[in-house]
Amino acid sequence: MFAQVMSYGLEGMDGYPVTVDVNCSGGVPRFSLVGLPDAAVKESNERVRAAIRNSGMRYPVASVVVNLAPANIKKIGAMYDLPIAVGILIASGFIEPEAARGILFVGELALDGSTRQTPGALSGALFAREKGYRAMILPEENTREVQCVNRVELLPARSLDQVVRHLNGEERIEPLEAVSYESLRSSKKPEKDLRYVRGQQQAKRALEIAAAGAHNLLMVGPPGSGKTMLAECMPGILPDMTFEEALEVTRIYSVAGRLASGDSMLTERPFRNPHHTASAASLVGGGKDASPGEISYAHHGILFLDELPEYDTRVLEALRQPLENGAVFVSRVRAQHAYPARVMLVAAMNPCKCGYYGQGGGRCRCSPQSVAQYQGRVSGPLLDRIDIRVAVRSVPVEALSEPDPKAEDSQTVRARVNAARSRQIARGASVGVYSNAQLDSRMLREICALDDEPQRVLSLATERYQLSARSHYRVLRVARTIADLADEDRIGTRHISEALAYRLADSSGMA
Amino acid sequence: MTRAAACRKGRMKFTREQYFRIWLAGVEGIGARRFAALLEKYGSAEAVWEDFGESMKWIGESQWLALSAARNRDKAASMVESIAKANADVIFRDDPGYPKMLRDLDDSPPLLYVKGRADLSDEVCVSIVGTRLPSDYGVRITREIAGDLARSGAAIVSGFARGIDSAAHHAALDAGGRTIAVFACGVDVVYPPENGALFERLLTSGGSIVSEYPPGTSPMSGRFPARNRLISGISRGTLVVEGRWRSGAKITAGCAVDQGRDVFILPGAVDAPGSELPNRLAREGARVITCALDILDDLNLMVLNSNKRANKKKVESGANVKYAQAGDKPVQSSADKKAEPEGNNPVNKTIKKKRSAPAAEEKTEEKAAQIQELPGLARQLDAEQALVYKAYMSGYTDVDDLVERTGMDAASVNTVLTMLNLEGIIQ
Repeated sequence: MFAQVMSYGLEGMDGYPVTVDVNCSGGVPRFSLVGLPDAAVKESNERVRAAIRNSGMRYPVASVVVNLAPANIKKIGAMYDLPIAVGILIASGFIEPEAARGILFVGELALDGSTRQTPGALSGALFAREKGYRAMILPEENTREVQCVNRVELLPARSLDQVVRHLNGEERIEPLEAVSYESLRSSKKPEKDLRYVRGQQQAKRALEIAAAGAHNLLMVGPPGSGKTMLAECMPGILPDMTFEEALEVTRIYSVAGRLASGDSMLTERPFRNPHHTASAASLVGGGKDASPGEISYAHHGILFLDELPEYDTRVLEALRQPLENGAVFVSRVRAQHAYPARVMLVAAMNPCKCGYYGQGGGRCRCSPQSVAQYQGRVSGPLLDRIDIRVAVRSVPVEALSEPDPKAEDSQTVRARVNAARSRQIARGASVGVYSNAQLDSRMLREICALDDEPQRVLSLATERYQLSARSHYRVLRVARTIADLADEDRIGTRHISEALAYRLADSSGMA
Repeated sequence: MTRAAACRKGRMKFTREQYFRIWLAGVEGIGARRFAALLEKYGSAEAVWEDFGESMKWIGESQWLALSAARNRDKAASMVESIAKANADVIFRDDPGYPKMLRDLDDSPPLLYVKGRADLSDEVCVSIVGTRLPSDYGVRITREIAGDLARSGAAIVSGFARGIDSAAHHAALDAGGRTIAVFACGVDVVYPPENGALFERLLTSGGSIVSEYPPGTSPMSGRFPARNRLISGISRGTLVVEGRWRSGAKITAGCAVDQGRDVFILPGAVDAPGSELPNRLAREGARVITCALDILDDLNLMVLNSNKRANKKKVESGANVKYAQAGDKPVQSSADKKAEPEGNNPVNKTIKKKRSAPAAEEKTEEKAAQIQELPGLARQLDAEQALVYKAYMSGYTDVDDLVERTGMDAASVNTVLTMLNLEGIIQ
């Protein structure tokens, strides 16, 4: 008997259809799996056989051939256990062939027949909705991950037995009721609050602007000046993630198998801080299966690189292209995938190797060459992609522990950031632009048209400081954000000149 | 190729003796002192060429070998040719264009290679040296002082290095004044390479590039200390702006002391790394100065023809300003000068008051008044700008510091700082 069951594979973030063909015929009992399966797929033979038997059904005494089509793409993982098992059961007459038509199957099986969590279920659910499948049967452990997907029937199954009884109409699985994204949002307070950062007015302002427009930020200051603490406050003031953003972020984590079984959709913007010994592959993505890197895990959130010059120069250079494009194209022998990587780069560095260059007390013992060499480890082109540079001064340690009575808390700042970001979304959502950092040069000309006086100031600065074209545009984007924070439609002289201050911060700590 | 042919090819015509002097001075290991000793013993450079032999070994084994190897007509000819190729000139020690102050030294170079203006007989030269990694403050004050000195007619001498040196050259040129860069390599070698633009600018604006090494010589660490003696040697005084205790600027200051020239220092914050050298030099007796007029004053140069309300602006305009050295040409007789108590000199009085300590506010007001007088500045400062400007002038450390002192928020302070910077009011 022959049976056909639909499943899907993952190509980067996106699903593609995989047809599971099963043929049972008389002859010497054997199991053969074709269609470029990897080791995990091949082993499904054993899992499927045990799961069928332990669910109280008979495994056919026949020659079983399973083909995963298209046969020329490598299939990875244990996600085909359930479709293969269903296919075999149809072929051996336990399930009516009609019952499985139009249903997408995915899931790993345990030996006792229960289902196990599978990576990439969210991508699968979106694939099922897009392709108009009648329903999708997936492991129960993936429920929370896909619960915001509407307009498609999602059937979470506990076990193979439950799937069979559902298909045979004996006991229906209750379809998931779509949950609204808003209800998932928690209102929990951020771990680190700006209220606990004393002074640092300059840095806090820079943080606020960076958060509002998703601009890249570089903090320069001596050890212990609170650069890391400031960076850790960033998640607390980032604007709320929109549903579309949350969907993209959750998909990345889902595809990489980084969601725990209870995890629902991610509602907090990610904050990733890879150690400075990170390799290029771990940062931008790669490996033999071309898997996503930290920059993709930080999509729509923050990639925090502490001690920037300590990173391998080649690793930093590899960040340049994704920072500009908001996506990574990872090519390997076996696969080529595109992953989204629209991150806010937040970096921190010391001004020199010993960390005290430009500080009082003559504490810096670095030679001028060593200072230049240390700062030279961060290349000009990378620096050019950082919109906001700010010097962080050292603050006495004891002052850090108690809240500053005058300081604003993160909630207040976040409210302003949210308002500014809403303006940006209202302006650009129709063309897929959710923050000022995404504005391209054509849109900048439309949105950031300058009046005479601001234009004069910008031209003066461009000439005086010999700003590159890229710098020029970046100043405009930051100025746009500052104007958004001030709730103004036109960019004024004030906004331009403040934006320039963060661009030209070289004198206050950076040589 | 004959010597005469080589001369014809070149831009300059050298006498026979000059030709041999260029040859002799270009021999590796023959410095100013050996050159002088050889000339004294044999009478002329040509005689050194003619009489060369074992008897000359007293100059030292390695130098003798170098001399022997260089004593080759083709090599000598190509040496002279390279000068023309580099579009350079040669000034001999007895030429009128040779720097006056340098001639008096016992190790003055027998000849100098020059690019740009070949007349180095500037009446007043002041050198400004300092660190290659200066602070904001260092660059700002260097520009101010170098600009003022240049406007008042002094030639600014420096070493063309990064940082303070470049700032001094630029400020002199910005002021439309004269500047001399002393190289530790050939005058046709741009070092550091990023100063290419300054190199061109210097040559097209009447500046000079000087070196005692033949064209094509590459920069080597050993040549910089020797070069530093020329910087201080050309100048009446040397201003040290910022630097570490062990630094090139310290060597220049040491040379100035050995040569009996004045050393000035710009005081810095005691806890800034760049203040190490100037502040220690001050303890050892260097003159502390705070503005260009302090230097002119100490060098016994007075600004003449200025009206009673002499102020910094007068120096800036520089139109009627001339120098006279006290006791030199009696424009103002020494008797008059003695009769007039020091404090009554209107120039000195105004300037000293300007920088004198606790009058920070007074200084700011005075400066603000000047700003409004400056041409090209269309509008006066508004209230916010004035507040930030005042705080900035009384000592700038960082933006947070200004935020605290002005009570304004960081956004406004940044805005105002950029505007002041763009308008050229602060640097």
